[in-house]
Amino acid sequence: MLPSISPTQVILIFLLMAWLSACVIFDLRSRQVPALLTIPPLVLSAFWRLFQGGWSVVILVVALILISDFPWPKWRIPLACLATVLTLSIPDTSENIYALLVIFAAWGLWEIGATGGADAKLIISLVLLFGNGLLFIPIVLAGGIQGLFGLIARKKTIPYTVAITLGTAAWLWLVAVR
Amino acid sequence: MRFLKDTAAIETAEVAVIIAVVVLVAYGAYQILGQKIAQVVQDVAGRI
Repeated sequence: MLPSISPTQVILIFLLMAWLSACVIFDLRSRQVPALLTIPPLVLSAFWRLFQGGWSVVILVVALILISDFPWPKWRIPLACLATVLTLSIPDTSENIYALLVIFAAWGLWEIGATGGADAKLIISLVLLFGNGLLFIPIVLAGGIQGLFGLIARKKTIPYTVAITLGTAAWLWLVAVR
Repeated sequence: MRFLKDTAAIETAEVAVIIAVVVLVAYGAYQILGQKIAQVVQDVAGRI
């Protein structure tokens, strides 16, 4: 089935995919994504989410960034849990509730060292941009398949930006054909 | 800003698989039991 999308949406999707592809190229080359490709999109998508009225999601992101510098490491995750519960207690749409949970999960995985900071920032930026945490499901599915191939090939680490890009493309396709 | 400065883009293969399994199981359980869970929460909230 072919999705029906406007020319403006085509341009936006093209820009989004160009940005994610640039991140994949850097990741494949050096397992690093420059801050220029992660911080400006994070800031822009946070402003976009604020403009859309999802301020509780933006508050959680700012709180988690501040908590990551908390001087006592063992208190960071409990503090992040508290911040997430407090933002979840604000009455909100189901999409924003999923978004809060995914943002906490992405940050938590980074905090325990399971994922890189660039990957976490990309996921958080995408969740802020689309305002829907369900985007995380195709991303982790793509990551799981990629991880399985990595295990078969006896590779310890995988470039997760590939899973983020493929998962986002799959999610956009699903949203467009729905 | 430790989080913002981290430019690493690595993910352990095992972790990627574990996350996928956990998210799939959680999402599947929510799809199957979501209505019942919401009903139980409503009942408890009503009694309080």
